[in-house]
Amino acid sequence: MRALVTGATGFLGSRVVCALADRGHDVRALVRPASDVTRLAWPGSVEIYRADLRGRADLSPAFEGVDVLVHLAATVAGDDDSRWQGTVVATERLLESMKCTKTNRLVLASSFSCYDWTKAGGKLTEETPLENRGVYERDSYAVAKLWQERLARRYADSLGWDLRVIRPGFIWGRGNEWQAGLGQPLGRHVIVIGPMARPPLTHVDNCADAFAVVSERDEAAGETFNMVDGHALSSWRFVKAYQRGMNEPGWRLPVPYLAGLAIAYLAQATSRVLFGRQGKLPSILVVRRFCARFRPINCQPDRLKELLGWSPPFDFRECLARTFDSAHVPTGAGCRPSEGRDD
Amino acid sequence: MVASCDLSPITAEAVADRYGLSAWYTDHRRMLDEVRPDVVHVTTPPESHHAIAMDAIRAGAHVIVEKPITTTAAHRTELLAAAAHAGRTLVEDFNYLYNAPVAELRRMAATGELGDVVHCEVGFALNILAEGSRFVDANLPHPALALPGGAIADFLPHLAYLAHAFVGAHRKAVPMYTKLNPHSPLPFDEFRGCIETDRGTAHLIFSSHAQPDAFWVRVMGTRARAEAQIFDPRVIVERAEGSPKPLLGFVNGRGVARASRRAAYASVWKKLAGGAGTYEGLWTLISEFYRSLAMGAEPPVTPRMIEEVGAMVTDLGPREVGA
Repeated sequence: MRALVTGATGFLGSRVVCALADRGHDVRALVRPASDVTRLAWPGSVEIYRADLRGRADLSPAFEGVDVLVHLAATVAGDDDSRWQGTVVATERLLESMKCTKTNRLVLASSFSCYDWTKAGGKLTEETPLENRGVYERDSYAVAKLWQERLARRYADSLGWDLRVIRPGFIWGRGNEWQAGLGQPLGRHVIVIGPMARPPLTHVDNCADAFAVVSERDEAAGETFNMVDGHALSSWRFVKAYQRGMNEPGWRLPVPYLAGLAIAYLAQATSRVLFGRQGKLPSILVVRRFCARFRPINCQPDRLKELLGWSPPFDFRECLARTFDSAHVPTGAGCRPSEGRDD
Repeated sequence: MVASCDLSPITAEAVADRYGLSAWYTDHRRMLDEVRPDVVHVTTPPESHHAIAMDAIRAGAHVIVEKPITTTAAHRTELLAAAAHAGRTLVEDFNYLYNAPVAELRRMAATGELGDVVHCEVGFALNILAEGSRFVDANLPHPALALPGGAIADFLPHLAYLAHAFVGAHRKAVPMYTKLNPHSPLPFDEFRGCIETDRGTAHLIFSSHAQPDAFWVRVMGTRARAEAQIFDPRVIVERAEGSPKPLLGFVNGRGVARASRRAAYASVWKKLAGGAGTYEGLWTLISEFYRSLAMGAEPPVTPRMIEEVGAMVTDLGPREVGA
């Protein structure tokens, strides 16, 4: 199988390239013209194709001989317009080029941020409704990821492509150790929100392995998968492991989720009274965003397990070692850790 | 609002979805034909302004265009002539004229509170070389880099129309472009300009290195000196009258302290209140534009202003580098 990987120099993409190569697939990594790939320790077999998805160049030559497009490119930083251009318009240009090629399998990295968290019950599944009514109350990353998935589904529906969507939870690993869904850091100390909840975490190397498996397996055709590791781990324990791993000892202050939510509701109501709908609050005090970030849910990689027999190759201890132990030389999915951006 | 248009279909559709528009297009001519809008807002990159605005005027629409209205003086004159001939209103987005602190300075100048204005300084300190800045994106060059002066050309109209508002049309313009960071992809990262007019002088500044980020207008008159800060809005006035001369320093100092304290609290309040933020002037300008159309009154930015500011921008171009 030959895979074209976008966002290949990013935090997740650089590991997905290795995970696919480890499984014996030919990999073509689509990287921006100015990106430095020498730091990434990719196998020599990885082919580099240089292009910027936001540009106007025809990208169809990148698809030559490609069986599957693994589309991970998204802009996670910058202003609203940068996120839109780098995520949605980039996807539009990429898929418009793919339309003219023989490639008809697309694996899309979507996001947990697409879900309507106010409708998620105690358990989050692939059938939980996506955000719809309150799209524009969410942050611009969520807005862009929602439109990106909509767009991919439209192309797949109209052209009969085999679309496989993976919605990862919070992806962590070396270079991206902290996760916003755990709480609010205050210097070395952390307010842990919902301390006993099990955060929907996935280690980047487990996540990369899942992308490789979903890309290659016929049983994954047309499916959507939530991607979490499913380790039995509370936010409280993860924050402790994080502080120890980063060698940043500090206090942990537990705040129950409902107490935090009540504060967010109060802040939002106050803002509405004082300023109407135009009022602005820090993101953590916007109710829909607070829910999306902290709502305690039960989420397991059930569909990956049932359909593909997949389970995370690395347990939590191994994930910790891969992230925080600089002497640790990992083997298997994900090659060596790198510092990358999702571009 | 009746329709949106963008070369990217998904962007045009998303704008329509967000603002509840009934139609979206990827071809502006088709939009003009089918929707027959009364007003068109042109917010595309500068090199496309002339063609789109011309089509909109020919379709009978009034037009508001982002700055710079065109990339050449000939196109600017042609566009203004076409609008005049068609009896349509053409406005260039001189948004910061309508930010509250600048509007206050304009009021003070117009009412004589400042006396005769003899000099004005307009300055931008903005780190456009920072990592993540679109101006230094090596993968996708910013459209402004195609303009003479590079990224600085994107800010020049702001400096020019603000100076023009206080000292009028220029008779002489002397630009100075420099590059302090030899590793930046920009042709220039610092700019200074001196302007001479019939009414006084102006000094224009753009700095990519001076910090913190700021955008200010300082106006010096024969009766008072006033400064408007635009990013963190405040107006500070120091008067030459109103108290015995020995006490002027004390009285002005108290006034400056009071205005600074109020502005500090107001900046937090404004952030929580939401709204347009630094683009408050754009909202006001647009509302003034529509009001002028409804009343048949003079637009907030007149053809003469567009011509005079455009001429100032042209003369502040980097042609004299090395001279």
